[in-house]
Amino acid sequence: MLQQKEFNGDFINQEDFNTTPIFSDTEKHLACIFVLDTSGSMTLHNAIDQLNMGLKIFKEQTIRDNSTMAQACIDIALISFDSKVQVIQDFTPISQMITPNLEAYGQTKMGEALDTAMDMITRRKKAYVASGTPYFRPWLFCITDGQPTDGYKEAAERLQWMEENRKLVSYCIGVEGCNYSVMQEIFDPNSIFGLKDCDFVGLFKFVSASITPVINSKEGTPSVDVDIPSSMFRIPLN
Amino acid sequence: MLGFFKISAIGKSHLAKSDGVCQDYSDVVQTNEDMIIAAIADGLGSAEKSDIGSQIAVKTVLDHISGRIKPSKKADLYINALHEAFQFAYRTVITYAKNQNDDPKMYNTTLTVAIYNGKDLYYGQCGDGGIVALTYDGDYICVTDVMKGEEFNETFPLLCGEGYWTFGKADLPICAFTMMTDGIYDIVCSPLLANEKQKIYVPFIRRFMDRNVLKANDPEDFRKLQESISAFISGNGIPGVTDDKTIVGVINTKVVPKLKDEEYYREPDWKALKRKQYEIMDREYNTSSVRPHVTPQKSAGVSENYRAQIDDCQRKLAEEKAKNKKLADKLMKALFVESILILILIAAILLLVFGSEKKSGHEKKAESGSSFSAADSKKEKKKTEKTDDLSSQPAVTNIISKIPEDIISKVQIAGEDVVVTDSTVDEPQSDDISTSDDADNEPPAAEYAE
Repeated sequence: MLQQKEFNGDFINQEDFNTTPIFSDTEKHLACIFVLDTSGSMTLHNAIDQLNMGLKIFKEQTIRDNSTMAQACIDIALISFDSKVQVIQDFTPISQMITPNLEAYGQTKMGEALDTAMDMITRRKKAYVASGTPYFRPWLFCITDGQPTDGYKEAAERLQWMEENRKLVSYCIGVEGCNYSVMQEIFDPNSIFGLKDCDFVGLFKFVSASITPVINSKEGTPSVDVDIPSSMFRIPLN
Repeated sequence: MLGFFKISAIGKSHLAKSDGVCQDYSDVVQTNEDMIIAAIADGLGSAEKSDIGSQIAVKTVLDHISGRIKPSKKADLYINALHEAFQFAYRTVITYAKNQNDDPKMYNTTLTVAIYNGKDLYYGQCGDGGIVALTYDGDYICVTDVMKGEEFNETFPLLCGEGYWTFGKADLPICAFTMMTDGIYDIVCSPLLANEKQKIYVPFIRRFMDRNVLKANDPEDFRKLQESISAFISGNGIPGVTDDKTIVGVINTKVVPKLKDEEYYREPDWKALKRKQYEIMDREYNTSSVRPHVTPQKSAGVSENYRAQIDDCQRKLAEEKAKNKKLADKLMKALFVESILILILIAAILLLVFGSEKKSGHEKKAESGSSFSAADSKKEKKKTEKTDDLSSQPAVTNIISKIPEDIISKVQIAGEDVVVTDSTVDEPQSDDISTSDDADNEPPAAEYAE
């Protein structure tokens, strides 16, 4: 049974107070999913090889620029879509991210891929909530050189609803051949970017550089602007 | 008596800015010996003039409540007063912004208000700060619900409107309480404790409220408390929190809370809680991720795990490819077989068509009046065959030469060639020699076989 201590007027025993460690958990997770077009046309301009290289660079740079603790808070997932949708990797810490050797063939089932990505994000957030893990709004990057060859209207509506209700943040990166008019039916026009010369290395370096300040931010710190690469450009609105 | 302390300290992140200001604000009004009204507010980091907004909100509610409230046992009275005060603060912030020709959102802020009479605690709350209280029985309880969005830094401040304000009264008699903005509140009510029986970081917060460990008896004590806590909060007392920090504590010096078991005040096992957090996350997501910073890992173990994951994924990819190839082969075979069948069918159809045409051609010839009967045609055929055979066989000439002349002449008259065998020599010859019993009329096969 504790006894009331006699103090000399100081707030508690100052030594005890100062030496007793105070635990503050500052880990906040960021879930980021890449939805990658691996349709047949991605063989043009060596796009698929550049994409593979970009993914490798993304992983290397993100690991290099973040502490072990921060790395554990960056959860990455990969989906590819062509004639079918494939989950290459479910959400995993960046240190365990697979860097696949993607091959290009077939159609462009983007609608189904986006639906799958949104399902994965929703499930991941439930896991965060169940485990009491604070998290940032998840990011979704869709990289394509064409347009959907499957039904995409429902997926587009769902994505727009999720954005409006702050469930996630989505971006579309289009390379040569991308039908931006159709992309504007799916994504917020302000979130669509073009990418010259299939500069996926530049793109993924930019994404990695954007993740680092977010994951290392403390409460009250202002946002950090990251310069977009010269190969990225905003598309003109319809 | 009711004593209190109040501290709002600028965070390191704001100090680092050239125009950095503390966006938190707090104040306390003691209306009489037995009643205290306290308010804290945290201006939104994204709102440029939220430091002004937080001050306006706190001063407005305190002025409004202190000018109207009187001691009463009716809970509704206090709660209505709080509600009105929030509405007044809301209108005041918007009016001020408009007078400055500013968007009111630039002044947005959270707001937490308490009315306390030494036992009953009434509150109004919007945003992500909150109130933790100590009951007479020594229990620490969360009085308010945090108004947060899905993301950890998403909240619903004052200007989101009445739909996001909550009001109420603590269920139990309260001997002390603290009001905190999110910088400190998130430590006291850590997410790691969210699934635990004790959701409050008791060892930390009791040093601000518990008269069992705190000397807080008279105004001089509270003055010293104010200094000590201010030094602690403003200094390096809470590492890792760089946001502005506000804490207001109110203590009833007439009550010493009951003490609990030592277990109740024990420091949580944070490492175990962290591991548990990831176990739950991975279980919910059917993953088994490695968290090197939580569980010490040998580097070999980490790389093996990584390699195993890659191998697993590559194996699955290869299996998928093989499966697809098999399916493609099967499809090709099926197509090949089908095309063969189709060709056979076409051939059969053609045969049938042409076959039936030939048959109908022969039938037409028969109908046109030929003197030959079927039997005759067969006989003709046979005769032709046999004549050919006979003419080439010298043995037949020998046999004919032995036939009596009168028989030969009879045969010649009949105009029939007769194949002479032993059995036919004595038998009368008829015109219609049926060749149906060809076996009888045929010479021994051995002599005529070619």
